[in-house]
Amino acid sequence: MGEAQLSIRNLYVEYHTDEEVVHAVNGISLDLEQGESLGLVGETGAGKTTTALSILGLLPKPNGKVTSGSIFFEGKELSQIPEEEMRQIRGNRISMIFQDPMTSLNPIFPVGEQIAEALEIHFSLSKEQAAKRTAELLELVGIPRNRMGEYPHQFSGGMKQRVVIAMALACNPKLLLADEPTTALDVTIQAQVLRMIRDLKRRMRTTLILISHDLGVVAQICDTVAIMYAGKIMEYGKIEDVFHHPLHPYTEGLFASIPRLDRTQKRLSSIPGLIPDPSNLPSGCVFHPRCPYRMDVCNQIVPTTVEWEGRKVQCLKYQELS
Amino acid sequence: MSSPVKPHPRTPWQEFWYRFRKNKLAVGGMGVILLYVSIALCADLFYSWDFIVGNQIPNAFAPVGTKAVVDWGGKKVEHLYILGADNFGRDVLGRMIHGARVSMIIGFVTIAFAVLVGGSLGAIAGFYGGVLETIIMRGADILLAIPNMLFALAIVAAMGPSFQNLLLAIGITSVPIYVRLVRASVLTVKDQEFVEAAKALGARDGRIIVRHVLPNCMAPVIVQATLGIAQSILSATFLSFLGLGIQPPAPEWGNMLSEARPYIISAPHTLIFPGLAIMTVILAYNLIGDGLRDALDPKLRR
Amino acid sequence: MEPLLEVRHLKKYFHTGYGTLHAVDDVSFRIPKGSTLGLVGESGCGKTTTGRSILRLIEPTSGEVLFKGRKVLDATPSELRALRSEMQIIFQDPYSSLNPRMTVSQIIGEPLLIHRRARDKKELERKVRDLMEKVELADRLYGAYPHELDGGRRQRIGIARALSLHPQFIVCDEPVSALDVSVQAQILNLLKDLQEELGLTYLFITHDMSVVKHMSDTIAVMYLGQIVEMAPAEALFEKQLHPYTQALISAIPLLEPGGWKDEEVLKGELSSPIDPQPGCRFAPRCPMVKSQCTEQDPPFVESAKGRFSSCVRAKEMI
Repeated sequence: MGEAQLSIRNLYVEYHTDEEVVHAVNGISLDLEQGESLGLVGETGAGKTTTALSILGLLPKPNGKVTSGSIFFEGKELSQIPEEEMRQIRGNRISMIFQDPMTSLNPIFPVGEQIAEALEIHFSLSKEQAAKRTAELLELVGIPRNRMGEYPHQFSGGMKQRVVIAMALACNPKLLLADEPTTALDVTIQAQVLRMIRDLKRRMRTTLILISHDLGVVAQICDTVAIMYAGKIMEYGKIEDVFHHPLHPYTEGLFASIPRLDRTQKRLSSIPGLIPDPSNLPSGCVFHPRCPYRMDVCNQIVPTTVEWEGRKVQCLKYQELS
Repeated sequence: MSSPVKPHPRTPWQEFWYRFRKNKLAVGGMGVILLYVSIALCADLFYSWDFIVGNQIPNAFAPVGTKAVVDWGGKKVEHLYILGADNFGRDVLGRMIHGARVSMIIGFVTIAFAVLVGGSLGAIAGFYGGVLETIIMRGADILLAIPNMLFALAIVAAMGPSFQNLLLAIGITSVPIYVRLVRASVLTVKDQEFVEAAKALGARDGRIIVRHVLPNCMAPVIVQATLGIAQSILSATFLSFLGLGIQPPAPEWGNMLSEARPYIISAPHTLIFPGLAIMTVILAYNLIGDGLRDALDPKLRR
Repeated sequence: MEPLLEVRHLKKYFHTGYGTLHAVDDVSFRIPKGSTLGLVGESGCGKTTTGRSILRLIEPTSGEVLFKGRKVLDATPSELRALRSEMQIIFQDPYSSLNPRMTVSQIIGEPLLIHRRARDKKELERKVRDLMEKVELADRLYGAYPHELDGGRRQRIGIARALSLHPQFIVCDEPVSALDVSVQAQILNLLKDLQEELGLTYLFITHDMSVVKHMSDTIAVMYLGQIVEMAPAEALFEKQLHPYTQALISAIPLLEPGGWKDEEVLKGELSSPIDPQPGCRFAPRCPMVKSQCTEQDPPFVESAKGRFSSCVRAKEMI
C-alpha cells in the first residue's frame, strides 16, 4: 500500500447562474491508489460528472467554480499548477471517456487521424510512428487496423465507443475517468465493451474512476465504490462490503428499488420523494426527508464521515461508533 | 438536470419577459419603437394633415428652430419650425411624424400578411408533406430566386404606385421566408412525442396543428418577423425614394429623402432628420430582434 | 380465454435509399385481458415500431390487429378515433412527450375535451384533479408547466393523460428508461397498482431485462424485426430456448460483484434488417449455428408447453 495517486480533499463545487447557486459537490474526499478502480455511483444530479470535470480542471466557465478543497494528483495540487502544465496532464496522464461516443468524435476526420493527433501533440511522434502506435491501439480495443482510415459514421455505436477508449488510452494515462461509458450502448454490446475495459485495466494497471448510475456495471469492473447523493459521498467501501452489506439508508434504498433477476418481487420498494433541489438543499443530513430511519436530530446535525475497517459512511445512525 | 418545483412557477410568457428584460439594448430598442408608435398614433394631435401637405413657399428651407409666420386657413399664424422647413416651406418634424405613421403601418401590415400567408402555407407543407409540399416549396423557391427589390419594383411598376400596391408588393416578397421558416420548424416539432400523443388521443389534424405544432414553432417566426418589419420599412422608403411608393405631397421618410436630395449641401436638415428617423427605427427593430432571439432560444435555457 | 388484443403477421417495411428495411417482419402474439406482454430487445429490433403500428400511429404494411375482436387496421378515421379512447400509449421521453406550452391540467384535460367527456368547466376540473390524485401528483401542480417538474412527475402526467379516457389497453413504450432507479421503482409500482385497480392490459416495451421480468406475465424477445422467443416470464429466465435470449440474459451486469466470469460474450454487432437474406437472422452471430440455419427461414413454433422459439435447435436446449 503506497501513497495515494489521486487524493481529493473536502472538495466543494458550485455553479452560479443568474438566479441561483447550485451546490453540485459538497465536501467530498477520496483517495485512489495506483491501479485501483473506483465506481462512482449516483442518480442524476448527484455530482458525479462534476467531480470528474473538477479533476480535469474542465468545469464549464464561467459558471462552475471549485469553492474550496483540493485535488492532489501524484503529489501535486492540481489547482496550483499553471494552465499550460495542466494541458500537458490532461489527455496525457489523466484522460476521460465521455458518455456519448457520437459527439466525442469529429465527424470530418478519419478515426485513425484523431488518435494519431493526440500522440503527435503529447509525444511529438513522427507521422509514421504515430500511425504505427494508432494501429496498435485500435487492435488493443478490438478494431482491425485496416479500419484506421474510416470515418466515424462508418462505425456502429459500440465500435465508436471503442475508438473513443483507444483515444483515451493513446498516451498511456495513469488515471482514466470514464463517465457512463456504456450507457448509450445495447446490453450485448455493453457486455463486450465492459469486458474489454476490465481486461485493459488488468493489463495496463491504469487507475480507473468509473462513473455510472448502474450498480451492475460497477459490480463487474470496480474494486471500490462510492455512493453519491446530492453532492456528498454517502458511503464508501470495498465493492463486496457495500454490495453485500450496505450501511447507509440511501444505499439500501437504491439496491431495493432495482428489479431483481434472481428473485420474484410483487412490488419494488422505492425511495419515497424526490432528489433534492441542489440550489436549495435540506438542512442537516441531505437525505433525511426521504430516509425511513429518520431521527429527530437528522434535520439539524450534518453527519460527519464515520470510518472503520476501510469503510466510510455519512449517517447519524453510525455516529456513536466513531 | 432535474428541477423540482420552483417556489414561484412561471408561465412561459413570464419566463420570456424575465430573460428579455436582461438585454438592455433590446429593451432600449423596444422603448424607441413604442415611442415611435405612440407618436404615429397621435400624429394628428401634433400637426394636422392639411398643414403638413400645404406649401408655405415663403418659408422654404427655414433652418432649425425658426419662428415664422405661416398662411393657415386664410389667416396669418405664427409657427415654430422645430426641425426647420423643406423646399416647399413644409414643417419637417410634422412630415416626419405623419411619415412615421405610414412606416409603422407598412411594417406591421406587410409582415402580418406575410406571416399569415407564408405561415399557413409552410404549416401545411410541413405537416402534410407529399405533392402539396412540393408545389408550395417550389413556388417559394421561385419567389426567393427573384431579387426582392426587383420583384417589388416590378409589381408596383405594373400595378401603378399607390399605398395599397406598395403594401401588396412588399408583403408578397416577404412571404417565402416565412413559408420556409415555418415548414422547417413544423418538421422538427411534428416528430416530437407530444404530437404523437395528441394523435393517439384521437385529436383531429386541425387541433394538432393549432394547439400543439404551431405554438412550438413561434419562436423563430417572432424573431424573423421583428427583423422583417425593419426590412419592410426599409424597402418602402427605398421604393418611395425611387418615386414608386408613397406619392408627394403625402409625407413618407423615403420620399422626404428623395425630395431633399438636391439640397443636401444648402439645407442638410431636410435630409438628416428623416435619415436619422429611418436609421433609428431600423436599428431599434434589429436590437429587439436580437434580444428576442436570445430570450426565445431554447438552447440557452438552463 | 379470448385475448383482448391479438396481432397476426404484422409487418412494417420502410423503403430507404439502401433497400427495404424490414422493421417489423411477421410478428404475431395475443395478450389476454388484464395481463402484460413484455416486448424486449435491443435498439433497432422493431419493438417500438410494433407498438406504434398496433395503435396505427404508424400505418403497418400488412397484417391484422384485433382489439376485442374488432379489426383495428380496417377502422375508418371516425371508428379509429373512438378506438383510441380504449387503446392508449405512454411514451419513453418524459420531456418531449408533453407540450411545453400547456399546463399540467391542460395536458391531462385535453383528451376529455377532444372526446367531450366533460359537460362543463367544473366537471372537467374535477375529473382532472381525480386523475392527478390517481397518479399521485400533488394538487398544487394543477397549473404548473412541465418544464418545472422532474422526470418522474412528468411521466406521471403522461400516465394520467393516457388514463383519462378509461382505456383497457395501454402500450408502455420504455416508460422508465429515462428515469433514475429510485424514481423508476415508483413508476413501475404505480403502473402495477393501476393495472390491478383498473384491470388494464399492457404491452410493455423495454430494453431492460430486469424491468421486463418484473412487469410481465409473458415475454417476447425481438431480434431484427422478428420475435425469436416467447415464454412465461419466470420460465424464460430459468431456461432460454433461443441462443439470442441466452446471450441477452448472460450480458446483464448482475448486482453481484465480479459476477462475470471470463467466458465468451456474444460476438459481433446488430446489423439492420435491410433486404434480409433467407435464414435465421441471428445466424451470423450465433454460437450454435448449423448449415440449415442459413438456408431457410426457421419456423416459430411451440418447442415446449407454452414456450415458443424460432431456433431449429430449441429442442436441444430444453
